[in-house]
Amino acid sequence: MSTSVLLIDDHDLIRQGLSRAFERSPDFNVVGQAGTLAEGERMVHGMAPEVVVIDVRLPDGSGLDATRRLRDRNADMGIVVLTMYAGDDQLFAALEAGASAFVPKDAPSEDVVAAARHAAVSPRSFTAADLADAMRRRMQPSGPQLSPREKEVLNLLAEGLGVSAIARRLFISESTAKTHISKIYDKLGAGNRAQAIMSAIRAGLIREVSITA
Amino acid sequence: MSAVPLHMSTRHCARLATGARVFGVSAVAVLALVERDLPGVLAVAMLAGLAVLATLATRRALLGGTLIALSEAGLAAVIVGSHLGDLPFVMLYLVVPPFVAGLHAGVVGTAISCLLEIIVVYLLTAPALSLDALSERLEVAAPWVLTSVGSGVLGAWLRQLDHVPPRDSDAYHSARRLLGELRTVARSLSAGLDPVGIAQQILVRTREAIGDEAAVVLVRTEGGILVPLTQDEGGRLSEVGNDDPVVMECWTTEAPAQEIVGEPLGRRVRVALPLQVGVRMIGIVVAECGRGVSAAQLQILHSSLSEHTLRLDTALVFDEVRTLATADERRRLAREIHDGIAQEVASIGYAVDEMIADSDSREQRDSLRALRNELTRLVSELRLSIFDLRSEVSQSAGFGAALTDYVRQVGTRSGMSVHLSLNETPQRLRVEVETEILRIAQEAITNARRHSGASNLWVTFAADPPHATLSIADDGHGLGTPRSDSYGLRIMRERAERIGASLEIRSREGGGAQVSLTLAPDTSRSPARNLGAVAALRKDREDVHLGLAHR
Repeated sequence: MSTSVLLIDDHDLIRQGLSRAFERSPDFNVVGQAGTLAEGERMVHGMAPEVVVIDVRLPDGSGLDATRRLRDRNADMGIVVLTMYAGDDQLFAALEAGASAFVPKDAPSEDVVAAARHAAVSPRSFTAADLADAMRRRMQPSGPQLSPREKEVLNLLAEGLGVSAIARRLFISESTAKTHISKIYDKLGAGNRAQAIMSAIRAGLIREVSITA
Repeated sequence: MSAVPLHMSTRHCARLATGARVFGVSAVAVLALVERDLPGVLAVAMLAGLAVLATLATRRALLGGTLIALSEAGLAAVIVGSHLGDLPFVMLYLVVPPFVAGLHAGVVGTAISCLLEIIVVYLLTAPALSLDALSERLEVAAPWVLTSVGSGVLGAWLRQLDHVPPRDSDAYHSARRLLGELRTVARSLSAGLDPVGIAQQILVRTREAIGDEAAVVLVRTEGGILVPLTQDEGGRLSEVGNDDPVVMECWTTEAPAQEIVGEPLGRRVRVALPLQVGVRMIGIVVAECGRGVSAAQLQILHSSLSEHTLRLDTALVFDEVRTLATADERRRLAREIHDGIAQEVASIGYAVDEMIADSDSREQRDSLRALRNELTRLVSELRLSIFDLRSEVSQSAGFGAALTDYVRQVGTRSGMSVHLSLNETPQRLRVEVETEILRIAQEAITNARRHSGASNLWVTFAADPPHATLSIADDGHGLGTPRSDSYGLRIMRERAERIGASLEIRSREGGGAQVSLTLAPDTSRSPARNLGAVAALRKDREDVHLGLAHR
């Protein structure tokens, strides 16, 4: 028994290329092709394919919105989202919309078939070639960015050193140290030392503090 | 008749016809006055009556324009024909109806009208004449007939030429005219529409008037926030924030304001002057002086800045419009690449996938795989181009966020380790300026990614409005052959020029290349600067912070 696939993309040549790729694998059977969301969604309801391959941008709407609607109606349908857009936002949007897989259009057609295979087996999981990198990029801190010198000053502040002690430790003038401190306050949106240190901990800029009050 | 109807409006047509009639009647009337006899005056009166009748008929739309014109020709010919024997000059009026007919019905109308006139005049005069008299009469008439035909053709030509569009598009016409003027202004005065340059002139004017030691021009941006546009060299007045008392007072009262600052260390007077276009506040000049400034002095300065203020406002609006238009165009381009070439190359990739699957020769498969890799690379590049075109500086998220997003997406995809360092103050640059800086960063990063073969990329951005610096450095194989004429570099230079920044591209110590952008829109209105006030200002600010810190 082969898996039924429906292709939704507004470009004939893309659909043609993908449909041939699916025909090359005996475990798939392309049951329909659509160039618009309206047509595609109608076909989904009529044919109930096991896997839908859908483009992010279609002439009559967003493939991601359609993915959300399809997922709401059917928890067990495999949904492969295709895109020409770059950027992690697309990948995470597909994940949040309930897609089973995400494949950029620069990948070979075999990747689309492999993604569809995964989607048919476990529609409620998510796979994407770039997933690990995207997760790493997402976990990098995006909060306030301090210059290396400011980080040093922040660490000394967190140790409880006063302005003159910080200046002596870093071999800088007191007024320079004060400038660094006021910059740090600005960046962290803090009005005093305690607030600055709390924001810095929250933003992951410093780990340990020994507060000497 | 042409397939596309190029008729002038009925209104315009009627006006021209009336003009011709007035001309005809007055010409004949003048000649009649010269002759000074009753039949002549009567003939003129009849022609005038006919002209009025025809004009009224046209205005009330009693008959079709063409029908009126032809009836006019017939009746005029009757009047002229019956007076021709004694008053040859009335023939002059026969020029008018063919012209009117030409206006209404083109060459065909003219021809019919002329023919009608000739026949009527002939029928009324010829039978009573001898052959000799007739030929004599013809000699007199021939030039008039030709003139009539000529005026008719002129009318027909005017009708084709003067295409007056319907009334509701008048707004578009005036908009078109204004935009045309704007284009001319933008071309000839591109320097005259540079906000920073104009703001610097304001600072020069301010110094001449009140002899300040440091000054800054703040302009209102979207969201009602004041951002520094330019300041004196060495001056640190840009630290004057939106919440500064003198700025707030000036902003709310829309009048010049003064306050005394730096009391213990050196008494300074800080002056804030509103920049207004009509009743609208577009910005504030903040200046610091060693002594107080009289209200009268401030008032004089304030009114002398009005022209500069208008120019500044125009330049800011123009900049905004240009940025908006460019953003629109970039989105359109992104869509075009996305829907066109990118999909086509991707589908060729799928076709090559199929050829690889169908191929039985190992050699062929290998070369097809190499081709597929190239196609994949090409589609990846197109995807990144679309990403480039779509990335924008948002008003809310800030420039650092936009740059971080871009660097993460593009830098990390290239296999380079990216080291990003941001140093921003809470105060922002203008979005138009930030946008140009982002585009320069994009171009520099793309160059490094494509050509440098680097393993590290350092992106450093520091902003302290109105100042900013951007540096993009890599440890690749350097600039190599000079590419100063390359398209990308030229665009970067143009962008830098537009925001009044300097751009430097050089080899980096230890290999690689470095692109540095420095934005320092300071005036150099005086070589020697009294920095006392500035130092006092800074000290003041730090003390405030430390006061808080010790609490």
